[in-house]
Amino acid sequence: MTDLLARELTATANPLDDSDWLAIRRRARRPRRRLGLLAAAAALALFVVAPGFGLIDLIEGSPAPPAITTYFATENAHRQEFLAHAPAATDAMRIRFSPTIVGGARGVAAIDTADGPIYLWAAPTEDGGQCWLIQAGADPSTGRPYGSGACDDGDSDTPIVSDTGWTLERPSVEIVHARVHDDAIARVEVEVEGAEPLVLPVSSGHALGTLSKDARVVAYVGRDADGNVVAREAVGG
Amino acid sequence: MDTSERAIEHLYRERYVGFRNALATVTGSYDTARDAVQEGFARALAPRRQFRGDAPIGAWVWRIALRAALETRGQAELPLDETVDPQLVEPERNPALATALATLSPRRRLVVFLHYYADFSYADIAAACDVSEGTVAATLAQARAALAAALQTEGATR
Repeated sequence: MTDLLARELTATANPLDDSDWLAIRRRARRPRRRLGLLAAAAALALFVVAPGFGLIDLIEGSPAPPAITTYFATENAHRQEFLAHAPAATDAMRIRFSPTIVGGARGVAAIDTADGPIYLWAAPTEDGGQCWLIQAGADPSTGRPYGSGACDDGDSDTPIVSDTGWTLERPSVEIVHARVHDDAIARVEVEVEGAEPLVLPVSSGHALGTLSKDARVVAYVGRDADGNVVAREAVGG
Repeated sequence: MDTSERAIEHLYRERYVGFRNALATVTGSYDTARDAVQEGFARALAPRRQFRGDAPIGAWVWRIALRAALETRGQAELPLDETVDPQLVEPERNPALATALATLSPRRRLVVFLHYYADFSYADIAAACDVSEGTVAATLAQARAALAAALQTEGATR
């Protein structure tokens, strides 16, 4: 009887280990009321920039949990296998596909949406670049993260490299991501047709947010800490 | 790092997933449960809050985390019996179990979740729920019997 109940309940448990002890140490040193402040911040964000944008956790700098480091390690293996079978790969490709330093994987940003949270994790590469993962869910049985990732060599002539995407796990929002290559840019304003711009802070060279699925992005504007325009990348023609 | 902090860290590293899963039955989602568990352990570490050793440390941290979760719903000041109504987080994964659990009182469900998800001992549960260990044992026995009957009935009708 006991085994039956234990078996049935164990099968429903979420095995994902997203623990982060260092984040707790940091949080313990902060003033209380954090949860209340977060709730208020989320409510304000929902009011200002519908359909949903709220910073849900200050994960910047937090070591990535095992499921994420496993993801980066697996991607490393795939890239090295690819390069091993691609003798014509250029030096640029080899730098871009340089192995990720898995132990350096850190949280960069986390936002809340009506469908659930979206996390951005990043890890440095051995050649000075960066790989990242925009996580929009996880396999409930294995903890393997769902999402999309990419790598770059950490250098670009384009100050803001942007992309938008949509996932099955967070179906009601369009994910907006900007890779920022100019250290002077402190925030990215996403100009949207017929609406107020979406203002995203830059963290570790990334800006992350969401828009409603029918929003049309016109441009990405990078501003410095004083509000001066540093770069502007128009979308489309 | 003092003894209390080491004990809290050990508890976290050993039992985080169980805490989060058990608390998710109260908050309704793993994400909110994660934040509440993080907040609960952070509060447990705070210098002003010292573990006195008059209850199992797991139960002590659980109550702090549960309060943190209830605060986000504006229910922290209400008695736990009036606010905690734990449910299976993803009932669609096992509808028969969800139905069987629904036949239990909220208090019994919490005891079940604490025992099977958080791996709490009878003493842990007794301290966490402010009842005697005998009550915990009786509650678990009744819950097991009720769930076994419900699950076997469900199995017979499949």
